[in-house]
Amino acid sequence: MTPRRLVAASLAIAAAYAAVHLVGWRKDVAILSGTNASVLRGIAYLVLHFAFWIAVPIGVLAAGILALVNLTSLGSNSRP
Amino acid sequence: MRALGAIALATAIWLPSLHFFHRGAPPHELARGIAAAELRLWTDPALRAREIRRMRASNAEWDFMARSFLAWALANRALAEPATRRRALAAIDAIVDETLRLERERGQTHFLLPYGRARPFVDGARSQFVDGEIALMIALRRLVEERRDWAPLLTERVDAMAARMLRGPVLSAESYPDECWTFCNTVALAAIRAADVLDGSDHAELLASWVRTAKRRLVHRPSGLLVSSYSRAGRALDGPEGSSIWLAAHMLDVVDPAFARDQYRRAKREIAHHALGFAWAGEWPRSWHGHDDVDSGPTWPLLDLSASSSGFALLGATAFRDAAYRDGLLSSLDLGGFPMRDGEAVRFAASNAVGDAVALYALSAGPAWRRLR
Repeated sequence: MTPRRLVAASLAIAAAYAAVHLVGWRKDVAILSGTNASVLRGIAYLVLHFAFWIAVPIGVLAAGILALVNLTSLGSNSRP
Repeated sequence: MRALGAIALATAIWLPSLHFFHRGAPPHELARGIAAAELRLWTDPALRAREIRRMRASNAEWDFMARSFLAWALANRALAEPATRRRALAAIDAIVDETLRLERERGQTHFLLPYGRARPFVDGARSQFVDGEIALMIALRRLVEERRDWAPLLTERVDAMAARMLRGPVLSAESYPDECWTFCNTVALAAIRAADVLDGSDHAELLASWVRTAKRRLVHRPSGLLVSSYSRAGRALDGPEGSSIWLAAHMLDVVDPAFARDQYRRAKREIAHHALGFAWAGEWPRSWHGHDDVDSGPTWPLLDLSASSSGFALLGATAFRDAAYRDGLLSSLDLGGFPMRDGEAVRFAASNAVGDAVALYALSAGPAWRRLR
């Protein structure tokens, strides 16, 4: 896993979340209260919502940390 | 290996920080937004009809409770913010008038689950669920501003509830055939207390006796919490439930504040959860496990999270001035309630009109109770 891949995966999730948000699937999470709504759209929105708030920031932070570690180790391995 | 370490470190940084991004609006602003959305339902007949249809497709009780909790919340808001009084009173009057009309034309079973018609009630044919909540709507409206023409409506309902309770072996009346609910009977007790304050009647002995009887007959021994439902004779039909106990503690606060606070503390110890700045509530204490039903909604097993119990927990936390728990619950509501804003109006996509009305009441409760104590 490289920093670039982590950022790409995070961006893909964020883009998918933005898309389902813009087409109005948020209202379908009403399935959580047992109210009639599209189960498929509700679950998709739910998964992407929590992925956006949990996985995306972790992915971006991890990419930054990994890039920093790679840079540091690259610096320490290079000859004077 | 490095990547896994980076992900672990990022997780350790992000998860404890997440709640800072879900503080949401301050409680009074959130309440104003929910009130605006709920009031739209009572000024737009088409919107109201659609929302009522949605709720009744799942549960006829929600249609009724959405009215009660909204009316109670608006009364509290009118007491706290006089500028909202005129609009609030107009809405409460419309809610009560329409609810009484439906009760008159279709009977109380219109607001009950189908099994309310399955067999006769043991004592009479009235539901404490419907009588108690309507009585409290009328009482709180009169607490904001007197309506003398509604005084007989309150007296009549309170007298009928008190008479049924006094005839019951555990001083409780049925909400469904041979099924008494702590939720409904504590709402009835609060309404009776309100009637005493408004009209000078005296039911102090009934209120004190109910608490004495409940401590003896209606408490689940391992947890010390009131059970949620029982037969008219007092046989427990369920153990304690989050979807009942938080509201029951709040209602009992105008009947016996020490007992009410004790129930809140026990509920907090038994079914409240918090982690990483978020808070929520389960449906059952560790010592008793029931089954998901229409009241509890689905419970998320790994987290022990019940949306219904968590919503009512917000009421408990506000009523008993537990700011830390309230703020954690509000963060959870912001993350997992899926707020949707439309101008100044706020509603929660994961909820419906009854869930939003409960949240609104939770954020507004207080002023009426201070006058009833």
